[in-house]
Amino acid sequence: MPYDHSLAKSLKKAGWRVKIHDLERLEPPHVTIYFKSRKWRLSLRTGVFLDSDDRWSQVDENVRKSIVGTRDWEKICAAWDEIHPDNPVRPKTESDVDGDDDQDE
Amino acid sequence: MATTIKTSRIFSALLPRKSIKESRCFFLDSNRAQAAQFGTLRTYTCKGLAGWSSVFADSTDNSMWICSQLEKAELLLRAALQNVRNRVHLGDLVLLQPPQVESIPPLQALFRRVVGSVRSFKMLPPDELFEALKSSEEESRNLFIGGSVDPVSETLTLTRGNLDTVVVPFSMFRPSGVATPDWGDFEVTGYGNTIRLGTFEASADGILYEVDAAYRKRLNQKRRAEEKGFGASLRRLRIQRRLGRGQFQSISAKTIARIERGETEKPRGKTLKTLADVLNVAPEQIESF
Repeated sequence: MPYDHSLAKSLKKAGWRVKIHDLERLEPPHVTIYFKSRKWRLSLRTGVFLDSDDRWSQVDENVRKSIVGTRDWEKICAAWDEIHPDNPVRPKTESDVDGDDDQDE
Repeated sequence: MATTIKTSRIFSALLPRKSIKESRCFFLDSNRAQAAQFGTLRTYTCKGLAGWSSVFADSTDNSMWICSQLEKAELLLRAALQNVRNRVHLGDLVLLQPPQVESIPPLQALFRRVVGSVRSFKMLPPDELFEALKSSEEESRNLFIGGSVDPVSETLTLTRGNLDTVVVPFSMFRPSGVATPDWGDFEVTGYGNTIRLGTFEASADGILYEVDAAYRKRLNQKRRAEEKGFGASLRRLRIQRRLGRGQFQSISAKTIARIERGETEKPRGKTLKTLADVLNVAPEQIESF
């Protein structure tokens, strides 16, 4: 069952969705923001977009506010872990982290 | 008795075709509101089958025909057989309702590709379909407009926004931590971004990544291109200088990491100067590494 983030009715009516699917591309844990056919994939480990062309300025401010810097962020991370237990947001070891290397070599 | 049929022709950059002139899209429906979602620019009123000649004359081999009703598809077939000569095909046909089984072979002979002819084919709802078809070429090929499940061969056949098709084995859809695919309850949702199988949902991205080598190649090319940017150069140079991310004076290690991952604009001014000073190169040389 996918995670479907709770958004204001007006945002949903306009075509905004925030989701985690049961089958996703093999990437670091992320939540996908949709506006109709467009999408932005946001890393749950770093809070930044996985695709370099994507910017918060392209996303409705109220959608951003409902995700980032709220208690819901933890809820979204927990939902990812539940759906994809083999690829948790906080891996057990640093070597499990794919592409989010804040550590020095 | 003459039959009056309205078809709407739409010109715009809405289809993945070579040019606007070649990308003529014909929406066959008398429902103006539905046709308007495509941005109608011209309406044809065809009286009798012979009246279609101007419509076919305006179409090209790259046209897309969208039929919202069964009778429109049958009428199109009869009109095409009467009016069209010396054409290899009429372009692509998208059927929002399946035709009579007997009509499928002639439609397949007249059109390059026929989408939605199978009775079990599930198409996106019209408003979402139009959005998907109006997307850019790159976006539309990464979306699904419909598909059908074959329990015998245990495959899911999906049609992309550019009308290409992918066949996906059931085995690719492994249960998640919370849901298992239900093949008896299939639909394409989310403007073509999502496949729903009961309570199980798959992203179009996830499916294409698994089954389409060209899709993976494009992603990898993009990644490589990103690695050519300022951030990648900074990272290579920093490692060559045996510097840690925490050794850039006023710039935090986290900021250095973000620059290296290309998550910030290219540094300028004081930040760029600090980077260059620590790395012992001229600011404009960083990107050459």
